[in-house]
Amino acid sequence: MSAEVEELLKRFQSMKNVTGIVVVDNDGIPIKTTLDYTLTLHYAALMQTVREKARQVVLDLDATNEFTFLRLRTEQNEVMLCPQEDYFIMVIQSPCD
Amino acid sequence: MFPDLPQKPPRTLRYVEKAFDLVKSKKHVRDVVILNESGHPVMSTMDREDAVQFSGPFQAIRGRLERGMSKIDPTDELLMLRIRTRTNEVLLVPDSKITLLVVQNAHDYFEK
Repeated sequence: MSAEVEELLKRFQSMKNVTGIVVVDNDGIPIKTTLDYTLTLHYAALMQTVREKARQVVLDLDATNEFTFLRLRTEQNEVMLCPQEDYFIMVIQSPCD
Repeated sequence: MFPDLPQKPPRTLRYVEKAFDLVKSKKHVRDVVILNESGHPVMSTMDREDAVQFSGPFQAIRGRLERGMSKIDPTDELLMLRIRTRTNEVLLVPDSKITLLVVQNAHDYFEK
């Protein structure tokens, strides 16, 4: 992983409400994480399948369109997923209302 | 059948119509679909066939996320799902016995 990505992760980590950052490759294997191991595996497995399904849904609806971001808001957490070519980044934060 | 499930407050037809009109009147909103508890569209700005085809996949994604989140934290509950694509953004909001699906224009443009 390049130094720029490392710097970016440090910046995300230092933000106020961020509780976790996970980088997952295309096979669902976590590359880098700030959460504990079990939670990381749960999130990685869930979001990998959701990412693939969302990408497929967007392509099915409009072949010229492209899935770029997903934000999942629950009562206690907010999960943001940003897909890239070879991996995707997940940021988990506590919502501030 | 499941007596321990939490009781959901009812959504009257007037409530549904009011929610529909309110969301539809927002500036960047392109399409609105309101689904009932079974996932069938009851109000929509799209054709009926388009609404059915459109809402199915997003309900599937929502189901997958809810099952996954219940494994991670059983007390958590889905409030809102946003799926951003290059040209638009789809919001899915479960609201008691109805589900709102909103398609709005994307506000900014990401250069790859």
